[in-house]
Amino acid sequence: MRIVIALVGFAAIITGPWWIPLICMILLSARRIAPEAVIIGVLMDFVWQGSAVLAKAPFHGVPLFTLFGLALLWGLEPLRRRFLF
Amino acid sequence: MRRLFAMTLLVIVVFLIDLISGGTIRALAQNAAASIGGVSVRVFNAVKYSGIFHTRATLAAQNQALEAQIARYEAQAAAYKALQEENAQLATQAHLAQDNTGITVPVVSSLRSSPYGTFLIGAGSAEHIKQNALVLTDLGFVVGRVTDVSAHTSLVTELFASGKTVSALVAGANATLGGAGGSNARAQIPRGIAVTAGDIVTSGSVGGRPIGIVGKVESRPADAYSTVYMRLPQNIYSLRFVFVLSSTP
Repeated sequence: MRIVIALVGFAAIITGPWWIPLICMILLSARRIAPEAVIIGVLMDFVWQGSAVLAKAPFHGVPLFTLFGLALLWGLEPLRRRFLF
Repeated sequence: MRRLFAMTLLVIVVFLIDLISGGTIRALAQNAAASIGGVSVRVFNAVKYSGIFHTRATLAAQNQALEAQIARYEAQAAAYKALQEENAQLATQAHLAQDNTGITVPVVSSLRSSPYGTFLIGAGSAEHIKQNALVLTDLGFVVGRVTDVSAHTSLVTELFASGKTVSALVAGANATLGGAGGSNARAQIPRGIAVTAGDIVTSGSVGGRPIGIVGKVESRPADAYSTVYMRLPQNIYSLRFVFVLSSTP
């Protein structure tokens, strides 16, 4: 299941609407520490967020998906420890 | 906990390498995405027109075709009006005539995929695409600017990406349009100014070119300002090709 969700997430970076990778990131991070969720976030930002945008518009330059991936990584850790281990 | 630190550090290192190398990793990711996106668009079109879903989608397709026809007529009317206005401007301000040389390039990604109001086009520095170049629809409306250029791929940021603002001229009045994504925007203008649906909206920041048309005007007697909703006269999501100007105003 984990592989399927990760594959859907990776494929949706390019072919699907942006909220599909987002959902995949949440699903992947819910049960375990998932590096693939962070990688999906990083790729979303690298593909869709221009580097020039980073320089010219501060708000649009924030790598939202990467930060969200890291937030899931760290933020869900207490829950994972409490309920799953 | 060690894994969490390691992954966070790795992400920071990757971003730093990308920053120091001038966006090399981004360019690689965008090139790969453009290749995969181009293939997936072709596969999608092949499946769509193969007839597999014909019986299920006949009515939907007919409806869509009629809607597209209406949109086309509306776009043609808007384009005609834009040309008339442009003609009048050129007649009075011949010195503002601009160079319209450029290149027609394919859109290689879905516009729905990006959360940042960007899309990929299948041309880059090898095809003389320049950073900050204007990107136009086939009817001459500006949809965005090239923000990243790699060898054969470029990233275009929509003029009205969500949260962005653009100074524009609506019915002769200066207005600041707030982007809402999908080439939609809105602005507040003084209520006394006569604005009607279909009026052309232009912007000095893109060389006085048309950036859209007024779709709807909301005005209440108690308010000092009217809310003007602006949109492109054509569906941005159905764009297959765009025109990239060689000059950058």
